[in-house]
Amino acid sequence: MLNKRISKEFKKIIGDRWLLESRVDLLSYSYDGYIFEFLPDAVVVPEDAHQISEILRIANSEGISVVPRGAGTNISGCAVARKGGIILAFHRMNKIIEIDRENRCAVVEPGVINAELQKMVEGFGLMYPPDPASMFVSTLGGNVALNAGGPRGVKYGVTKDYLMGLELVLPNGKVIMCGGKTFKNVSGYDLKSLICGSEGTLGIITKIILKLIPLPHSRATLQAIYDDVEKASKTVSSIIAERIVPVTLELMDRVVLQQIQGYGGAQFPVGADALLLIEVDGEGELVKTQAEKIKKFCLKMGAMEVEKAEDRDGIERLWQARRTAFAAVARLRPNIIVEDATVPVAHIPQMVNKIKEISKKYLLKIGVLAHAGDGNLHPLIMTDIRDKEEMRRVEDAMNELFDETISLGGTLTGEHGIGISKKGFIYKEFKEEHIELMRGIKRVFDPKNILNPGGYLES
Amino acid sequence: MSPNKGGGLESCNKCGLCYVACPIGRELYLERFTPRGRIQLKRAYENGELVIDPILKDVYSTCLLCGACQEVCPSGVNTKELIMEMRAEISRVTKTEAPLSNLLSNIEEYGNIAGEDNTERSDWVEEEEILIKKESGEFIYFVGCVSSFYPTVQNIPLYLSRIMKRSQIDFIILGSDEYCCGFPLILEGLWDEFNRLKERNLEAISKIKAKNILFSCPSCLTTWRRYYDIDIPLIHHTQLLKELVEDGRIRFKGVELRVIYHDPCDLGREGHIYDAPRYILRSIPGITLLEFERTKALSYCCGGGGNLESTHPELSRRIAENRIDEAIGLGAEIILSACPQCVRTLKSSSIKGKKDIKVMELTEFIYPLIFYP
Repeated sequence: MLNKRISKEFKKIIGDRWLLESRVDLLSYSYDGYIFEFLPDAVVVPEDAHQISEILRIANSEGISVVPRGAGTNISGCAVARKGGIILAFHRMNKIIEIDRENRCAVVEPGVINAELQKMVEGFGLMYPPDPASMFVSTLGGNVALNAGGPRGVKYGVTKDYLMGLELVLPNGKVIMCGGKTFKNVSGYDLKSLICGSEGTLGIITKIILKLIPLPHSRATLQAIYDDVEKASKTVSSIIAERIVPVTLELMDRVVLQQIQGYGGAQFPVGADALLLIEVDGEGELVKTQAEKIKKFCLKMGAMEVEKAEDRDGIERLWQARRTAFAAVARLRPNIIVEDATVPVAHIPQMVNKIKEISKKYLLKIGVLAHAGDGNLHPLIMTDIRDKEEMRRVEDAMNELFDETISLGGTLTGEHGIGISKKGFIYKEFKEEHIELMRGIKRVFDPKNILNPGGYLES
Repeated sequence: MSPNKGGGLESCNKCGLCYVACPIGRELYLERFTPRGRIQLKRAYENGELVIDPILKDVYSTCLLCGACQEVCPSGVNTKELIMEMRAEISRVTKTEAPLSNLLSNIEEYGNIAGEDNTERSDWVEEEEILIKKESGEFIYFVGCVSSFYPTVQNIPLYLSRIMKRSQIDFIILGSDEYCCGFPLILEGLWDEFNRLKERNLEAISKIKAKNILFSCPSCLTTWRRYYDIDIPLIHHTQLLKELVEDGRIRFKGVELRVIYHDPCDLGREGHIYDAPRYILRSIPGITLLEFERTKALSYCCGGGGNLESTHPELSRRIAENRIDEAIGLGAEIILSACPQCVRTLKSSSIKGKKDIKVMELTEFIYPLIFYP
C-alpha cells in the first residue's frame, strides 16, 4: 500500500480514476507471462510523458520502485513489481502519432500494439519487421525495453535494428530525446540502443521512432521434412553458409510434430523426425529463383520431401503447422517453460543434439522449436510447476543446457530477456567485470535504484 | 477430458494472448477486464486472497461470455466455463442487484425476459393454425423470448413462418406453453430456477410428436443442446433455409448490395454453424458478401452477450458501435446476422448512434427476395 500522502499526490497528477489501489487491481497486475508473482503497492495509468515525469520525481525522492508494463506478455519476469512499488501501465499511451513516409519512419507512443503498427504501415506499402509471437498483444514499448525479436529475425534482425530514436523520462523527472529521424547518427554514445533491451531499468520510454522498410512484393514458403533431425539442423547452417538469406528458417523436431498431429493439425509422413519451414521474400523473379535453389538444396541435404507454395492460400497452409505448434505443445502438460538459448548458427546441430540428450538424461519432455536460421532455439519444456521434484530436474536440465550454450559461444537469451527467469545463470555468461560495468551504468541513470529493481544486477 | 489436458485454472500460462480476442478488454483495457485477468482473479479468489466486493463483481459482470478468448488460448483453458462458475459463485454469495435482478425476476414470474403476460408470446402470429392445436408435426418451432416480445425483431418468426408455410413445411409453435429457455439464468449460475423452466418446456414438447425442434434464436439452441438432455435433432433456421435453397424449393431475385455477415457467438463458436448463413447469402444474385476482420470462430460479440445489456447498457452499446463502425469502414450497406439478440443490439445502437447503415436479420432480409418455383 502507498501511504496516503503519496497516493493523494499521485491522484493530483493523473486523476483519481487512474491510480488503482484496489486488491483486485493489485492482484491483476501482480503477474506477467513468467511464473513468479509480486503484489505492487499501486498501479498508475498515465496519459503522457509530463505525468510520468511528475510521478517519477516523487517516486525518486520517496524511494518508491517504478516498474513499466505494456501488455505484460514477457516470459522472463520483467513487468512485475519484484520489490513492490508502483506499476506504470501504458494502456492510455497507445497512439500512433505519425507515419512519416518521406523519412520512412513511424512515431508511436509506447502502448501501441506491435501488430497494429504493422497493419497500419502495410497500408502505406511499408513494413515494420520485428514479429515476436506476442505481436498481436504486446506493446512496442515492451518490445523496445526487451529488444524483442521474432521469426523474421534471420533476414530482418530485431527491434534494435529499427529503433531510430526515443523519448525517455529519467528517474529525476527530466525528459530527454535520444536519437531522432536520421538514418545515420554517430553523435555521442548511442543511448537509445542502450535503453533497448534494458528491461525498464534505466528510464521510462514515452515515445518511440521506428524505422520502416518497403513492403516486399512477393514471398514463397517451403516446407522440408526430414527423417533425421540432424540432417535438418545441418541444412540450416549450410543454407546460411551458402549465402542464402531467408526471412524465416524455423525448425521443429519430432516431439513437436507429434503434438501437432495429435492436436488435429497438419499431418506428416511416417518417419518424419524434423521439419524446416523456410520463407523467402523480395522481387517476384528473385523469390522464385531463391525458392527453387533452397528446394534443391534441402533435397541434396537429405530431405524426405519438400513442398513449395507461392500463393497466399498455399503459404497459409504451410504456416499452419508452425502456428499451431506452441498451442499443441502447451496443452500436453499444465505448464510450459520456453527457453531462449541462442548459439552461433553453425552450432545449431550440436545444440539440437544436446537438447535431446538432456531430455533423456533428466526424464523431461522437451520439444525443439527454433528460429534456427539465427541460432535462436526455443526448447519447450513441458512440465507441472506444482511438482517440486520435477522442477528440480528442470533446473538441472537448464543448468546443463546453458553450460553448453555458453561453451559454444552463445548467449542465455536471444529475445526474451534475463529478467528473473535467468538471473541465476547470469554468471555463466558474464564475469564480475561485466556486471560491475552494467551496475555503473545503472548508477548513473538511476542512482537510487527505483527503476525495476530486483533484476540480475543485484545477483 | 484427460487430466493432462486440464483446461482449468492451472493450465493458464498467463501468456496474455487472449487479450486480443476480448472486445471488452480492448475497450476498457485494464488488466481486470481481460480474460487473463478474470482467470487469474478467480484463482486468487479460490486461494482465499480475495473476497467478493463490487469491483470483483464488476470484473465478471462485464464479461460477454462470448467465448472468443477460449478460441485463441494456446493452453486450452476453458475460460468461458471458468468465468461462468465465478458468476455462479457471485450469485450464490451475494444478492443480485437491479437491473439484472429485474430481468431474472421477470423470467421467474412471467416465464419470459420481457416481463409480459406469457399468453402474449404469440401476438405476432397471423394464422392461428400454426399454434399448438395438433399433436404432431415435422418441426416444433421454439421461437424464444426476444423475437416473441420485442417488436424490432418480431418479423423474424413472422417471415420464417410464412416461408415455411409456402414451402409446405409442417410445423407448430407452442404459444403460451413456451417459456424462456433459461439462458440468462445459466449465465448467472441460477440452476434451480433454470431447471424449473426446463421442466416446463420439456413437458410442453412431450405432448407433441415432432421430428425436430427448430430455433431462430442461437442462444435458445445452445441452451437446449447443452443443458436439455434430449435426443431429438435441434436445428437452427439457417440450416433449414439452406436446405430449402439447396433443394431448389426457394430461390432469390437478384439485388445489388454489399452486405456483411456477423456471426452470433452461440451460432458460431457454440453451434459451429458458419457456412449455412453464408451459403444462403451467396445464393442471392448480385450480393457482395463482405467479412469482418474478426470473423467466424474469432468473431467479436455484438455487445448483447452475457446479460451485459442489463448490467452495463452503455458498455454494451459501445461494443456494438465498434462492430458497426467496422462494417461501415469496410463499405457494407447492411449488417446481417442470424440471431434476434445480435440484431436487436446492433440495430438499437445503430439508431442511437445515427449510423449510416442498416441492420437486419437474415430471414428478414431474404424474405422479400424469395420466389417459390
